[in-house]
Amino acid sequence: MQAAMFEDFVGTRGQALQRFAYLLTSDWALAEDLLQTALARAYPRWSRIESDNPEAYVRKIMVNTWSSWWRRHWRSEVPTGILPDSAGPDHSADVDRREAVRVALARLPARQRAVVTLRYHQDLSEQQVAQLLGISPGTVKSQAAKALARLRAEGALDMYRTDQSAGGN
Amino acid sequence: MALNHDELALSDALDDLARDQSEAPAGRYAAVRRRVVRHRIRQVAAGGALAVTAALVAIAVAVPAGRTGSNPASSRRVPGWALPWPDHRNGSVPQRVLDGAVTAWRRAFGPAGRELRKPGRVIWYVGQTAAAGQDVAVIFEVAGPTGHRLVVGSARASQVMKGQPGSWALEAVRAPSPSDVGPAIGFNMPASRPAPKAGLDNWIVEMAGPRVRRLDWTAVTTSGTRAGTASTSRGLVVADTGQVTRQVLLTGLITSRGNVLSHAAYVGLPGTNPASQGGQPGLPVLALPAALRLPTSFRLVGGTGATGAGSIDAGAAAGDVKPGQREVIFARCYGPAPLQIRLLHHQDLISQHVLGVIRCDNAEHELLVPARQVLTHDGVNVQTGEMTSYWVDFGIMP
Repeated sequence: MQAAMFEDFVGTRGQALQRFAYLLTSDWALAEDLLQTALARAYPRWSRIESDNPEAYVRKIMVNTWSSWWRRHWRSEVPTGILPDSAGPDHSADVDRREAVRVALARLPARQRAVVTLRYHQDLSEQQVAQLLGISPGTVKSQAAKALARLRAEGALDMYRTDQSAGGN
Repeated sequence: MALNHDELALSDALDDLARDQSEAPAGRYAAVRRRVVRHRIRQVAAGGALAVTAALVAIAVAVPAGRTGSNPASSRRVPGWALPWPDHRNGSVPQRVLDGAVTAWRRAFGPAGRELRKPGRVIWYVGQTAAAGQDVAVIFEVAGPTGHRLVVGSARASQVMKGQPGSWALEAVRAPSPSDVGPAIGFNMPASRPAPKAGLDNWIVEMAGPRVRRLDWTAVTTSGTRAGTASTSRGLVVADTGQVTRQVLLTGLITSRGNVLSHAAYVGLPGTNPASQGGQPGLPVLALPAALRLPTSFRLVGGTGATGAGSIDAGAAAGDVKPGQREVIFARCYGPAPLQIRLLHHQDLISQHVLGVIRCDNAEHELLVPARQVLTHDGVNVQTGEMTSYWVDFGIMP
């Protein structure tokens, strides 16, 4: 029964968690490695966590695992742009836009990257992010503000700003 | 708290960055299980004894055919906040028509007199004709200024299929968390029944996870209680539940492992209260009863056919009372509550004089109004329960 429930979770949430891992690692292969590592660590405890919030638990393992990888292996080197190597439809604007975000995100300190990914991609509240990372909500707020300022300064958000019409919901 | 412009831009940027994701690797689940086994073997070996049993190896290696760990739902690229459920659009409705539903949502759910700003990414789940082609049903999630929204609803196909703005009946709630969405998402949709049994049937559009193969429900109808069942298409069912007199109750979401519905639930949206009053989300628009057979001498002033409370405005006829004429109300209704017919007075909605009470036995009733009161007021008010359906006509007879 535990195996079946775990397999269900892997099947339904795996891709979403891999995207989260990619935003942390900037590399799809590394993201899959991070995801499988975290899932393997979560599985022995599955019967205890499955009824609570298993996704939050797995995310926490992913962040902690990635942090340990970051401290051991990562330095300041950041992969540069990927150019298409064959002629085809011109998606260069899309590639440039995403590459700008990827590079700017990769340049953020580890904690800031984790905070913005959890806040603005995983849609967690400041309180939830604080609990997951073991920091205060105030620190979440300040880390997010610093990350946004840095991304703004690098121009990574320029192509995602829409026209600001009056009003809103 | 609403996100500011930079935060919204960053949210879009992160969604866009993760868009290049490839399909889920085949065997992800098996790979995870092998890691678990290898870790256990290392632990056991580190303890000085190696005890790898044949059973442990069998569990790790013998992955049954088909259990690849991939999921047809999760192969679709959706943002982390969206449901990882399939896109059921089948091409029966042009995308520009579906975009009209998003526009209608922006207009309907913005502050009074203003549209919502252009939304972020729209994640489509349902966008197709339904009810034998009479309607267009939609289910989508959208990133709005104050968070993500789940929007469901429909429109008459004849009113929107050529790109007209039409009239969309939409409901919007906060988008549920993908890890806590509940058993299913659904809504009710009225559709005309063809002659000779003219009227309205209630249809349900119910979307569950893609592993759900069959949907079971119970509907109390004008011809008794009916148990319904339908096979799903990757979790989606669109079904005619008949002329219901109660909310439709889901009793089963059947997967390969049996019924995953822990308890019966009304068709509706996550987080809505199906027992609430006043036309809250989830309450069906019931089929109308048979049309009234009116005398030839009856001059119609106004009428209404509806589910739940309503009114008839005397309008231009107010004050138009000739000597010798009588004010008459004809009505037919069915449902748990009777019709209470009151005088309508726009300036004094509280103290409304009761003209009469009509029993809802699906028979035609005539109510004579003494002293020609209606046309000296603003019309009539129909008070009844939310699950009572009726025709009421008011007019003048000699």
